[in-house]
Amino acid sequence: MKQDVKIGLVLGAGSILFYFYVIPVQVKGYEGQGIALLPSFIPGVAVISIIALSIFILLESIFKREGQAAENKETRIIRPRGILAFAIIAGSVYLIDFFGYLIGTSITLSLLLFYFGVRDWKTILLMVIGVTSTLYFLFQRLANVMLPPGRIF
Amino acid sequence: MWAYLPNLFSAIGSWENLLAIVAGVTFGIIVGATPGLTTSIGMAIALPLTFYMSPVAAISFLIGINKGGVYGGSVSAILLRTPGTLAAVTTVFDGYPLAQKGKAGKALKMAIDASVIGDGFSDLVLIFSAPLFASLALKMGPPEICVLMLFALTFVAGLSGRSLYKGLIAAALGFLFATVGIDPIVGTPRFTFGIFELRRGISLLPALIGLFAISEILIQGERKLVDLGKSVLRFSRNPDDNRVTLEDMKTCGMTILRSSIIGTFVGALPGLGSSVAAALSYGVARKMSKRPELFGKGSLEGVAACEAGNNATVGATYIPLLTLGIPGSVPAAVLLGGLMIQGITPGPLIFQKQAHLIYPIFGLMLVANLINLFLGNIGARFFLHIAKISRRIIFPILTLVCITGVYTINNSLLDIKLMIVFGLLGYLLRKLDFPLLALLLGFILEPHFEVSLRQSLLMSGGNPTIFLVRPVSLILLICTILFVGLLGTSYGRKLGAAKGIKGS
Repeated sequence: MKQDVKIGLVLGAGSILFYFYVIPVQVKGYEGQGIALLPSFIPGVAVISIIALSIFILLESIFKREGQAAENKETRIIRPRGILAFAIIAGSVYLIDFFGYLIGTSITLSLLLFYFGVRDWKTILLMVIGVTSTLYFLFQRLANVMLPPGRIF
Repeated sequence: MWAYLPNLFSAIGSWENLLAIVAGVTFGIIVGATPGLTTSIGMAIALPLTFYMSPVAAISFLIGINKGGVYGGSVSAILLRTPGTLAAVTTVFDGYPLAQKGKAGKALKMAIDASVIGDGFSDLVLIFSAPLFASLALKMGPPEICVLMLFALTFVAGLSGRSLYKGLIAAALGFLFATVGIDPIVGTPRFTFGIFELRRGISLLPALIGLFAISEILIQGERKLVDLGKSVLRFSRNPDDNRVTLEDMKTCGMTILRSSIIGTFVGALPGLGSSVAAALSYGVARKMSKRPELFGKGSLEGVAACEAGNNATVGATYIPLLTLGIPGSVPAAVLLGGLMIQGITPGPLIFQKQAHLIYPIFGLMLVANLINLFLGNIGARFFLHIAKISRRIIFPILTLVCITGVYTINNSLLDIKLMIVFGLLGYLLRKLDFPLLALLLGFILEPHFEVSLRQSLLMSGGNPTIFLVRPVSLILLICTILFVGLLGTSYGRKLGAAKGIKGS
């Protein structure tokens, strides 16, 4: 299946579900009192636009001529290395939340440096100490921002 | 006004004032270039320092931070694809591609030149026409602002790349994300999914850092380890790639002037801000350019438009502040605090009662632009070294800076989570060829559009003809309709030509 056909189908179906199931539950009140007092007006218009545009993409992709369709070839969207990078970055939130800013960011930075190809442990140690302490000083001490203390300390 | 010229010259000749400006601009550039530390945070941090300064030095110091900060945002936008401030969001689109082509020096120098010209223009407008401009800005009610936002939305079509439909979908997604939080008119929650913190909505900074910086880190992370050992950007040895030539200035001159006017106008309207000015300037520049196909791929005009547009709001944002006492932006609100500390009361009487302080400050604002130009040019050489660091080192550090910077906005881990979600979204949308710029434009413009639309309808009791009976909104509406008509015709022609080529 062509990539744009998939995009049209997924976006279109997702938007229809969103319009009928998410908006009524998540946006409350003031129906029947005019657009000015209707909180769901703009979200509704945005979702209906996405549904209509998905249909256009779908039709355009289906009725595209052969030559044009070649431009729309299937590409591999997600690569395993991308997923791993995402997992490390996403994991950082939980590390910071649990261990606190200094330890959480130190672990995240070590993992990311290793992931990006730094294999010398001295460089990793130096970078971790230098970068985390600089950021800690800049934000916590200078800008008086309370960085996350963590749950275990 | 001319009676205060001696005060102005003595203020410019004072070492205390000059040192205050140099310190302010330097601090502003550093703060602006650091993602997460916005210009207003920088001004707020520095506010206690002004207790010990004379009124003119104190206000010049704060204004210096504002000017340096707005320019500083472009440094990380150009070199790291991470805008340091909201004002530099659109600078990323052409600044980073230019840097990838080995023209980081040229982009940085055009950014500072355009910033200083835009800033100087708006300062001159502030000095010579502040009271007149303020009364004009006050006449822009919700219907006019709504139609202005509608006009700005038509730029989405120009930013859509290969597929207009994908561009419009991206803009609609931006609209949808911007509606998260408390409804601005009736106060009920929208799309909060039971998460209390989501009631304040999605901040722009987590969204844009996620869409641009995190998605870039994910894409760079897919590369082979051998490639990651190289530096992030290429560097050209050609001197013309590292400076702004006379030819470049000729090409970008009109764009800078046009963007300066747009930025000054938007800056004088309370609440719109420098990111809206930059987005509008960028859209107009693309439309008027002789080479619109280069926009988004490394157009020097694109960088010039954004930087002139966002910096031109700096002086203009002080127009409603000084003449009416209305702070039109967060930095203006911080400056209001600074003025109050020094016993200066903004309002219509300021030009009569405290003119001996205000006109020297105006003069020092112009001096601050020259200092910004000088420091920006020297700094450009230093900043380029950042981009020479290996990808292996720069991307992990950048990730940490993004995480820390985003956390500091609201002291909330939710903002980091949102940044990561937007990072994944940006990664997928880039792979699927959706233009992120259109999504961001929708996200920036939606709150202004929705509030002004619904306020207009409340004013008229639901009657949409309110947009037709007010002269300014009617003119803007006619411009928008004509513009949409032109876009439709050119898109139809483009489709027809494509079919003709394939058919033959």
